[in-house]
Amino acid sequence: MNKLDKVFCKFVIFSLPVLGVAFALSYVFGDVYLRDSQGILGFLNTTLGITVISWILISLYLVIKMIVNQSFRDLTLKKFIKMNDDDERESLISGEAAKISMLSTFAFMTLLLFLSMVTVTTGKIEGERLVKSDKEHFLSIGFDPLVMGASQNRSTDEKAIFTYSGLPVPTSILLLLILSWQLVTFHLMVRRERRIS
Amino acid sequence: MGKNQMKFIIANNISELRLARGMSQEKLAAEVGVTRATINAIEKENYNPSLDLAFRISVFFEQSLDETFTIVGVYE
Repeated sequence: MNKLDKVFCKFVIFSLPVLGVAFALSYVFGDVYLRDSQGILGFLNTTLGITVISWILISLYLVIKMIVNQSFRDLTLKKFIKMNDDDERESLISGEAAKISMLSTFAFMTLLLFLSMVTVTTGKIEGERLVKSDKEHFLSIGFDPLVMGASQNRSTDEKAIFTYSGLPVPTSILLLLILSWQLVTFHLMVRRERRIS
Repeated sequence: MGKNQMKFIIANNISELRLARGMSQEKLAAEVGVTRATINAIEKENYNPSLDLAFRISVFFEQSLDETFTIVGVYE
């Protein structure tokens, strides 16, 4: 890793609290108020804005470099996840942990895929159908693989009380969840493997 | 378990050899190019080293491979 990349990596990590302050200020005062503000707040807004833009650009550069440069990727990610493969036993432990972590992430993502496709609806049966049927409520579970909302088109005799369709989580949170899952399972597996061998 | 899937229980006398020379685990680890934790795991027979590492250890103690490592059984 060259000196510039080292500086960039440190900047991306150590400027995270500054990013937090920038987002907090933006949340408290609002973007328009901050943009038009003068004095200390204006200076703070400009400085934090430059930091955020720099952070985004440098992160983008580091991510692209990680994709194209194998040695940089190995070095950075090994440091990031504290992977220690100095000797054959550590390599074996890291390999086992990576395998288990990958498979558990695969299972977790399969579960998320399933949850994103399933639709659950509960509700009341009304009108003519209520007279014919001896049931007052209904529960329907179905698949909506393309998440087109087709399964939500209920007949006029059914009034939905609760409908679950797709994961009610933003994409960024979902990706963060998957990343965290992989990191946590990897570290837990490394600890377990170290205890065994 | 098939014959080709047999897993041997391998004993070793690394601990005795090391202590006879008054060496620490760290020193031996540095000599054979591994971490102290690996030497500890081999001595406790929790980890079977690769053929390469097994030879490095044997050569370091000026012994043949089967003097340092011995098959004492097979995992059921």
